[in-house]
Amino acid sequence: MTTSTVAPQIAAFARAVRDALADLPEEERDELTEGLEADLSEAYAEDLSNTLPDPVEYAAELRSAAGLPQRQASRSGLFAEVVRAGRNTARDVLVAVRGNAAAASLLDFLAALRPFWWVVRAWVAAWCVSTAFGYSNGFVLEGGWMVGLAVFVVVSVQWGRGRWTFPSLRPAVLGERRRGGAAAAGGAVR
Amino acid sequence: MDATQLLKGVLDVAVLAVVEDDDGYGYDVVRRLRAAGLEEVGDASVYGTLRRLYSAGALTSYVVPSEEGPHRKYYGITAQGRSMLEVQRKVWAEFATTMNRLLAEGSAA
Repeated sequence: MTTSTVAPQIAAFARAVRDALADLPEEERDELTEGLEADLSEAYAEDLSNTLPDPVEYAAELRSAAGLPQRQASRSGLFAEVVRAGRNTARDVLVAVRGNAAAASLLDFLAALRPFWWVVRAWVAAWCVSTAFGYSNGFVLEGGWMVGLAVFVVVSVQWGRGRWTFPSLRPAVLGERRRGGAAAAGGAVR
Repeated sequence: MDATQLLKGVLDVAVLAVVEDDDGYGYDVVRRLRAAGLEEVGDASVYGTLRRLYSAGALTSYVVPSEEGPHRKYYGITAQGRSMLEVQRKVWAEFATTMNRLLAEGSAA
């Protein structure tokens, strides 16, 4: 692009608008802002009394008119960026895996083993608690701790089956899983 | 009444109408809309609308390089855009008739 004839304030404004759209996929952002410098140059050359608006508000108007989601409130946090990127990657991986027959059957096989993992996590929890109380007999639980293990197994399995709910915990855990599943299903349809 | 609120609902069809006969680039479309009387229209709203109509298949787009300045992105109407415009014309005409009748003075007796 020939940018030499674009006024510096127009170039800076267009850059700020693109920054405010940085959370969009690159292709989407490029499509949305292609030709922006030309349009702005003309708009602001025609009416010199015009001052450039706030680039962030401008970007918000642009994306809302384009029917794209507004930027999340946690936009500036590095942590939020990392979490979002990780979540997107996990979703992409799941979609890709679902698209591959061998990988999908492996995933189904692992899903069938879930009750086994429920028992394992109950055992890990029981072991952690017993260790915290000073019990030490390697990784073997004996005596009264067997009862503790049994309690943990029941809790773990019931939780896994969705029979018992932990109001504060469950939506956070299962909500993510469901959304991931929906995304994977969508990917499979595509 | 806030005309900018009303405009939001009809910007799609207004944009389609001004590119029906001639392709236009972003600011060109803004200028046509303002010349037609929609003076309040925001340029970013128009550019976003152009992009959305393009995604919906109602418009095509192409970039025209420029020797002395930045490239311009032109939009043109597609067959799908034309049929969308025809449908919207009818919808608007019916809606406008209804509203005119509803708001006509003395009709609410």
